[in-house]
Amino acid sequence: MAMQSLEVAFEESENLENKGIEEGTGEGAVEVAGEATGEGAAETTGEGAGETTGEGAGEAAEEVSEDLEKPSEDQQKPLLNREYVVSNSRKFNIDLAPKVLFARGDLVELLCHSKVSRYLDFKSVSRVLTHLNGHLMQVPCTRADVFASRDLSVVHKRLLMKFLTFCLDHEDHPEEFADFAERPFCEFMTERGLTPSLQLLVSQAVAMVSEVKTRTGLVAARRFLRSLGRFGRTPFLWSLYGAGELSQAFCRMCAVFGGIYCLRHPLRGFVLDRRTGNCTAVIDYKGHRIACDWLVVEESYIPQGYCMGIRARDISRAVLITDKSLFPSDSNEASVLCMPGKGPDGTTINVLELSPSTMTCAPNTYLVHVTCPSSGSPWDDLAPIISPLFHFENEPESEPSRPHVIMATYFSMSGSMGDVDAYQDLPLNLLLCRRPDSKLDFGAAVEKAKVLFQRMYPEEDFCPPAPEPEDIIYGESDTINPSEEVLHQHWGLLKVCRTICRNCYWPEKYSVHYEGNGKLPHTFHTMTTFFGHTRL
Amino acid sequence: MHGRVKVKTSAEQAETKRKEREKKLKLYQVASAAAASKRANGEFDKEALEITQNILEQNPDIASLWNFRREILLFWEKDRQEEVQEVLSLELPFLESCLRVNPKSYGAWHHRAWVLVHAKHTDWAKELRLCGAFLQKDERNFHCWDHRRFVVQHAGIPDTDELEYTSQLISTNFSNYSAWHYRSCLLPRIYPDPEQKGRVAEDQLLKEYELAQNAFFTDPSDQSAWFYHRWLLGRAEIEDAITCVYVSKPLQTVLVSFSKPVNLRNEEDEAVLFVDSRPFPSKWQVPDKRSTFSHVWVCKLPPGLLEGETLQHCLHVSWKDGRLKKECLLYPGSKESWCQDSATDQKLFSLELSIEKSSVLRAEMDSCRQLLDLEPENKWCLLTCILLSRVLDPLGHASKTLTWFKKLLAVDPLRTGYYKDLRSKYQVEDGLLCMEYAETRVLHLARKELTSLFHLDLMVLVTHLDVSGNCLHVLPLAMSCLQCLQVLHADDNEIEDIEGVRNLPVLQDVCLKNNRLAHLSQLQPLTSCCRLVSVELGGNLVENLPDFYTHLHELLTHTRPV
Repeated sequence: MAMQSLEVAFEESENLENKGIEEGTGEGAVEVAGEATGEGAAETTGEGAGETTGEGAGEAAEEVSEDLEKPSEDQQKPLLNREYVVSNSRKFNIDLAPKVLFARGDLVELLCHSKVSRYLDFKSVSRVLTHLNGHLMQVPCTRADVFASRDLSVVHKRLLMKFLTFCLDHEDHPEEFADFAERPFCEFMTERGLTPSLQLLVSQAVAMVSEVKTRTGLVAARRFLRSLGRFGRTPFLWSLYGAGELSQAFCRMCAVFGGIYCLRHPLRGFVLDRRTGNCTAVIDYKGHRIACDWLVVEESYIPQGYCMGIRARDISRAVLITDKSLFPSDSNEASVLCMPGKGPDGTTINVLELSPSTMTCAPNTYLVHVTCPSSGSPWDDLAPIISPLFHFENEPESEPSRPHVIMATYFSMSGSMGDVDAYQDLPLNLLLCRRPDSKLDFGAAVEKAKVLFQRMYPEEDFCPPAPEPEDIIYGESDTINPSEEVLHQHWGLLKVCRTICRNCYWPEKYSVHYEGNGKLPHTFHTMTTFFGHTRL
Repeated sequence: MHGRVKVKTSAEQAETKRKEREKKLKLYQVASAAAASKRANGEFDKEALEITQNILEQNPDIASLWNFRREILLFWEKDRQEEVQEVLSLELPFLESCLRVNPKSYGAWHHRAWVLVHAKHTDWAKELRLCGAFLQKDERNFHCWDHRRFVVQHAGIPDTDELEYTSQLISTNFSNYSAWHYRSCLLPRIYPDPEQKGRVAEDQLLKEYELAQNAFFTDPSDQSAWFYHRWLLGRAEIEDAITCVYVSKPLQTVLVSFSKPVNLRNEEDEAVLFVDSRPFPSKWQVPDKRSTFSHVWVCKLPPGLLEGETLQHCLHVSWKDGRLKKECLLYPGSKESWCQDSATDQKLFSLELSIEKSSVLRAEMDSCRQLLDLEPENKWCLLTCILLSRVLDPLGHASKTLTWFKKLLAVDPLRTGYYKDLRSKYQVEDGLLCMEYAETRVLHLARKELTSLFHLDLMVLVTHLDVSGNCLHVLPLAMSCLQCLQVLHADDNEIEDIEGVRNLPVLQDVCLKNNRLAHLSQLQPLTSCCRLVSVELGGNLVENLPDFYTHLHELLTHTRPV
């Protein structure tokens, strides 16, 4: 029933698009969003979980039709409460693994190179914030920011710029930090004449690390600095409609060239060849046996027995919906705030604040993701950071400047085991993907996907550029249009992708990928598998 | 090969592209020919507008076609006013698309300005937004900057708004030299200095110093802020003035020098000489007998005019219709006399940088030296320190300045010549100041690594000049200003050209030992010095020429060279 009302909602919303009532969304992007949310929400309602978004699905359709009748009325700022959020639930896209892209990171290069970027829209993260001496401030990360900053004296500006320039080229001058490489980063910064507050600025906001060794700190700072000046004022990009769009886009490119996805086919088991130990097939929930040459799965599929008994570190998460930005200013489309965690091991807590223009939350609201590696319960890990920044409902109105929290949820997610070495005796044709980590960006995902792909297809290019539509020759080809029957005959390659997050009681969702004879699809699919479908 | 996507090969792609281009070329040629024939036949019709539009859309750089469009519109203007206005209103979006094709199209920008002026209802605010949008794409598009100034002028946009705009651009990217420059044009208009023409009032100036400082502390290697800073430190325009009047009885000459080169032969710049209150029909000449403009002008007096040992004479020069004047008294019994502005009183050399309150400059100096501590190799910072020390106290900072120059030469070898010349200039200034303090007419500039001579116009009264032991290649023509020079020491240089000694009327002794004079012809300027007594030429190649001394005697019959 819930499914039906959702579909109605999407039809209506597409109508809205056609009439151009909602502004600022490209047609293609909206289409993708429709699918994405459809999937996620359908899962949610089906399973009866998902406190945050599931409930309002039914009302969405009504609200849309109201909008059509009196479109001018929501000019006024609505009362921002739980009811507003619930009745606008379709406008929220809440990532389970919210991540940003480094503007010069591998992923951006891959998106451009493979032309998968044509299915995606991005917004530049508009600012990086930091918490310095009890105050939030905007990090002057570019030359222009440093120039315009009123928080720094001219001499501090010089010291900061000089140090950042050094971080950027530190690889060319190893002699200058050789003595400090294995000593704490802060000692090196002291040696370079940085004041304590400048040190905090560099470590928290630029390197985004807590207490690390100089070498690590320099590398981290370099990664940040290298991505500056490509798009916008910060090194980060945010994919509109959420980080989950990335896997959508790779799926799509895969599907365009013949890949097939079977959604909602949970796996029941693997079939192993007793002789070789290889995985020869999987059994889906209906008992179908699906043969495979290779099997790529995310690590939670692996039965306990294979695991060497190391407990993975969980991820503590909080998702908040608030009524205004942490740091209101002219440009606050998306903000990144990195704070030192309370653990002694140099972990950081990442805060990502998204405005409605990122297509992840309803007008006038802000969506805040807080993530860190677990030390205790999510509440213990995150509340000490969250409560001073936000104003909760039952609190006395002490500081009116803090954003009000309309809804909040704390939860934890299974972390990755880290290395594949953590598993023993796995079938040789079974390849493992990691679960998303607590990092702010996608980290080494591209590199890892490439390694897996090359193991399966050492001869093939990884994500080659997709041809331009006008260069494709139509009509001459004898492309198969796989019917159900053909599908069964050609289960040549099977790949399985499952959403992460067992702790949220997520339904198992698979997509099964049919591989035609063309080799284009599976390479894109490798990427898809890596990002997982990670949306609430 | 089932199921594989079939893609055109690169040869096929190239072929498709070639065909497209060929087709485009054909269309283009046909259209161009059509437009040209219409223009030749005087067919100023709608179709002509359409044809030219189609071509210009692809290539907005054909000036003839823009001209044709204007001709059509002007032709219609008499009896088809409404239609013209209609076309003009459509011209703007069309031009915008042309400018997207080439944002630096001279023709398109020019036509746009023409349309804006001819249209009845021009939305200047929108036009200004357009400029903003184009400048956002390319902040140094000077076509668009020009257009913006044109729009600002016509729309009557206040200068303060434009200043705000430059602030905004600078805060996004302070390497935007165009924006800094625009600022330097606006500031003297908005905050004029009440005393100095073309300068900025002190309050605002302080803010600008702070802005520039922020920029060069953030990135000291970025030159735009340094250039701006130099402008801030810059001088007021030199005002017209008579700086010196000199009279010599034995030579029967009056000599006048001015604050900048002038042409007294120009009727409006005529200077009138009064001798004992009687206007003298003076015939002014330049000392080098060649230039049109000169700092120094000479007037021969007829013999007998300054006669009488017991009489006092008054020489009075009046210039610019009497607004500027200077006089000099020749006392009884004296052979010469002068009246000269003092270099120190006039802050002649500090003028290189403006005469701000010294506390401001001292603060600037402090922060630059602070930056220099952080960036000891930064050439801009070194240079600025030098400039500042020149204004504050040239002689006091002399040794520090030389150290900075040494460093500058080491860190920026590409500009060696510039720095050496600049150093020479400052050395000459210091020499002039010392001479003035000592109240002599002897100028010591020996062994100062001079590469060039400066401020020769301020040496009018110098009788003894010592420039030996430097790196001079030339005694420049401008040395002819030194009309009182009697002794010139220029040993141990690299001099190849002594054109500067030509026509020095009282020059007696010339020392040119160890230079690079290799031919007799190079000595020819000496022949014009009619009071020459001795010339020393030892250590020059010319000495080795056969029969050199015989030839020299022939050349200079009235001298005794050693």
